[in-house]
Amino acid sequence: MEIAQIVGLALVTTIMLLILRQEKPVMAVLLSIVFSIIIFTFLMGKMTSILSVMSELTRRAGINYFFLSTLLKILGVAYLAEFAAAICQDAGEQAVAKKVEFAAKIIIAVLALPIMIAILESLMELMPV
Amino acid sequence: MSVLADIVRNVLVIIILASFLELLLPAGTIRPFVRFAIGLFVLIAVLNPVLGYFFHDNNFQLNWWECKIDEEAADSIAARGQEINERMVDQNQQMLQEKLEGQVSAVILLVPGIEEVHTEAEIKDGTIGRLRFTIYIERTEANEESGEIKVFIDEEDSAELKQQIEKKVNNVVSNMYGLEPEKIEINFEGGG
Repeated sequence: MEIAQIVGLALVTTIMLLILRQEKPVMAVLLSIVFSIIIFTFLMGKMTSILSVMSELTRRAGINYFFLSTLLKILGVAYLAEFAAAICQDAGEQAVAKKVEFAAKIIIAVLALPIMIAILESLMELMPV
Repeated sequence: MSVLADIVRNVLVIIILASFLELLLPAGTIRPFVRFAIGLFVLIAVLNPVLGYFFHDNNFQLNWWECKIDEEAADSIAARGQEINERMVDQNQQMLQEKLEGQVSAVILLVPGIEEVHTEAEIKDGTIGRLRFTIYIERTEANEESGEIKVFIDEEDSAELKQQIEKKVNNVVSNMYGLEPEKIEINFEGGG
C-alpha cells in the first residue's frame, strides 16, 4: 500500500512544516523540497511502467513515436514547473513562482511551435491565391 | 477502404492517448498550454491522412510530422552503419600503423651503429600503445678492414654499444612521439 506510506509521510511532513514555518522558515522550505524529491523518486518506477506501456501501445498501433515523445516532454515540463512554482509559493515567493510558470509556458510553446507552423503552412498551401 | 480504416485507427489511438495524458496534467495555469499542444497533435492526426488522400501530389510540410520508422529496417541500417564504421576504423588504424612503423624505422636508422631495424607498433584508439624494435647492429669497421673472424666477441664493448644505442633510440622516440620509455621495447640481433 504505497498510498498509505505517501499519506503518512505527507501528514508527518505537514505537521513538521507547521512547526518549522514559525520557528525556522528556511528549514521549512528545505523540508518541502525534500518531500517533493522523495515523492518524485518514489513514483519514478510506476511512471516508467506507464511510459513503457504507452510507448508499446503507440508502436503496436503504428503511430509516429514523435507524437508521444513530444507530448511526454510537454507533460514533464508542466509537472516540473508546477512542482517548482508550488515550492516557491509555499516559501512566499509569488514573483519567482510566476516566473517559473512563465518559463514553462514559453518552453511548451517552443515545443508546439513547429507543429503549428507545419499545420498553418499546409493549410495556406491549400488556399487559393 | 483500408486507407479509411488506417485513418480511423490512427485518430482513435491518438485521441485515447491524448485523453489519458490529459488526465495526468497538473492542475495549474499551464494546463491550457498543454491542452493546446495535445490539440495540435490531434489536428495533425486528422488532417494528415485526409490531405494525403485528396491532395497526394502535394508535398505538405505536415507529412514530416507523420513519418513512421520501420523498426526492423532501422535496426538493420544501424547495424550496417556500425559494421562500416568498425571496418573504416580498422583500415585507418592499419594504415596508421604501417606509416608509423616506416616513419619510426627511418628515424631510428639515423642513429649511428644501427644497420637495420624492424619496428612493430601497437595502436589503441588512435594512440601509440607500444613500440617494439628489433635492431641489427652494424659490424665493427676493424673486423671488416682486417677480414678477421673473431671467435670470441668482446662482450663488454658489445654491451656498452647496445646500451648507448638503446639510450639514443629511447631519447629519439620519446622526444619525437612523446612516448614514455616503458612503452618502448628494444631487442638486439647480431652485431659485435
